[in-house]
Amino acid sequence: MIQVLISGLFLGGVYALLAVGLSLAFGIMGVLNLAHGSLAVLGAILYKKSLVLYPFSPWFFCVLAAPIFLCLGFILHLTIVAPFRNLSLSASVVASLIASLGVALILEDLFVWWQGWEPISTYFSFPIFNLLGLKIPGLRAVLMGTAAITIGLSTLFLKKTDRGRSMRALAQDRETASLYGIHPGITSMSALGLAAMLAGLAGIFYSALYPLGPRDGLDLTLKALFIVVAGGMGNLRGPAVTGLLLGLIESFAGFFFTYTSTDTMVYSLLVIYLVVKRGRRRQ
Amino acid sequence: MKTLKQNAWLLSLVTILTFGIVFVLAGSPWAEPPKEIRIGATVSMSGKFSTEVGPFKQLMDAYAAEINAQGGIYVKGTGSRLPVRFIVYDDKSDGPTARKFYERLISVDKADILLGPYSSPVTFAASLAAEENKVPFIAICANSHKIYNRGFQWIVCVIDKAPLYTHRYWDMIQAEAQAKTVAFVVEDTLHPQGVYRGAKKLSETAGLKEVLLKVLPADTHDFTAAIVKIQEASPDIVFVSANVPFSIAFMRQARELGLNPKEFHVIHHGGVFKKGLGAGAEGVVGQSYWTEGMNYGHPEQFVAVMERSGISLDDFPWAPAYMMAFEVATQAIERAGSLDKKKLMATLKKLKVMTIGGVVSFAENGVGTINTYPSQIIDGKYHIIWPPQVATTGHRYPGL
Repeated sequence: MIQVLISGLFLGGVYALLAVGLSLAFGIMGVLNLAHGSLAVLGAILYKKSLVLYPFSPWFFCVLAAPIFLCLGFILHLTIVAPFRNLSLSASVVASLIASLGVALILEDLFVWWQGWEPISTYFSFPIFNLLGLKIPGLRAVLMGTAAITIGLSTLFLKKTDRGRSMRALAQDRETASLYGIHPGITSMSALGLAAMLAGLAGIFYSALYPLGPRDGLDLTLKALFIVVAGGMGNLRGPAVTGLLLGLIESFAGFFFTYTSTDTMVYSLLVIYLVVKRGRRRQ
Repeated sequence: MKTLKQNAWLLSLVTILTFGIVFVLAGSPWAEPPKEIRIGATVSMSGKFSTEVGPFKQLMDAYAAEINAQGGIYVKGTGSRLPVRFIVYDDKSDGPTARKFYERLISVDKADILLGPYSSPVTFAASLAAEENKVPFIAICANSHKIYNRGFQWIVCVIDKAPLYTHRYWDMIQAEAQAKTVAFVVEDTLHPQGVYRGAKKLSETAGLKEVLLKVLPADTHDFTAAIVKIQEASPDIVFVSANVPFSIAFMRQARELGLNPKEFHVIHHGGVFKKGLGAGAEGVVGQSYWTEGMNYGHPEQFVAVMERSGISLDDFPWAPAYMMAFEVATQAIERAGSLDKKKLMATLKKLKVMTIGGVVSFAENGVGTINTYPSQIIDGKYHIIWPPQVATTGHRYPGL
């Protein structure tokens, strides 16, 4: 039972990491980046490829991969956000959405070409700890801790640094923030860089335990979007908590019911939650 | 005016006669004799099965090159040896796509004989094209009973039916008498389900008790709940009936969560599985059609074909089954002495031929006789472990 709990928490931690990035990009730029999950798959592929050179641990590889994904986020900004900044708000949102879908599809094809249809699977042996008679799988525990630290550092960055405060200001009121000298272009580019970094790290963590397919990117985006919708668009705490809950629900649904019921249960809960939430708001 | 009408009549008559002669001659004994033997097939070069058979067009071309280097296949009816040409399309691991290409192979490419695609679901769809057009179809890695219970007359399959897929493994377990209980983890798709149904009966016959059954969707990523239940049931053998991606995911988490039965049996434990698990694959038992050291038929020809194709047996363990299908097709053409489809099919039905995997013959419904041997990954290499006359090394229980 404790293993199911830990597994659920770990899965939730990865979901949270993934969703926090998507929420960040949406909150600050109003861009729903459909290539977000593909960046996670790219993280997994890079980790798998790196293992041929040296048996990096997933957490050590994260340190190496973080700046790469930051740069990829900047490039992504130039592709799916910057070209549409002169359009009206609604037109730019639609244009960015379609552009990011295009990027996601191109990336998927590139992944298939680059590494074939083999599952992206990395094996990293790590001991099992005995804690008060309970078997704690070390890899999951350490990865869970690393995911929590990453989310914590991202939150600190947003709250305590000038760049982070600029991002939050831009998310709250773009025009007023501009009047105070915050450059929307550079700030939103930084936000997408941070979001891409979180997606890449989530992919590395995910692949350390679960195999990913080269075309799993859009599925991951959908899952992250589900968490963001349920947890609240544009904030970090909501998606982080919802991500954890989703992981726990998935794990326990597989334990108490059948695996086939997991998705049904998860999406039914989302619909119920949204209906109740919307009902309360109307009242 | 009259002359113009007469000319028009004459022209029509000549045209009709010309077409008539062409049609009659095309189907008559005076038609031009065949210059080559066209073998049609699809290969899953892309899609989920590309990990299993992706580069097998190279295998087919390598076999054709080997045969053609000896002058081709002797076809008595033509009085000469004819070169072999494989016509191959990518079915994208998809049944409807495969069926479309088999229809093309029959109608456009005029294939003389067809080799089946990989997997039961894709073969199920593709074989319809062969049956409708009455073209001999040799299925390869497709042993679900659903394919052969349809009363089709134009299909044979090299391998035995799915329920018997692991019978030699259970014979070994019974003979060794060290295991008493088994837990089954089954991927909810056609072939793994078929193998499980057979394994369940065979394990009972071998005196084992099934303590747990977990049937899981093919896209399951997190197996923690299933693994916890298996730990509670504490079986001697954990039997995983699944395709490779599923098996890798399950085994990796089983290792990580410390699941430690006497033995893991994973039906598809080929090179992709071994690479995906690294050291975690050590000791795992599975099923293989052929490993080095087996001496049925002409293994040297198979080794030459593999070398020419550049395909590694470890990475693509289904290559021997394909080789057996090539051998069956070659023998059927030679013995029929003709490329006439009816004669070819009749010859196939009563064929009994030695291949690298043993003797192949076909039951009334087309099911073949080739079966896998239990093999174990020991020091990173595959070894046949049963029966003793074929085994290349002894069986070891890793969890003992």
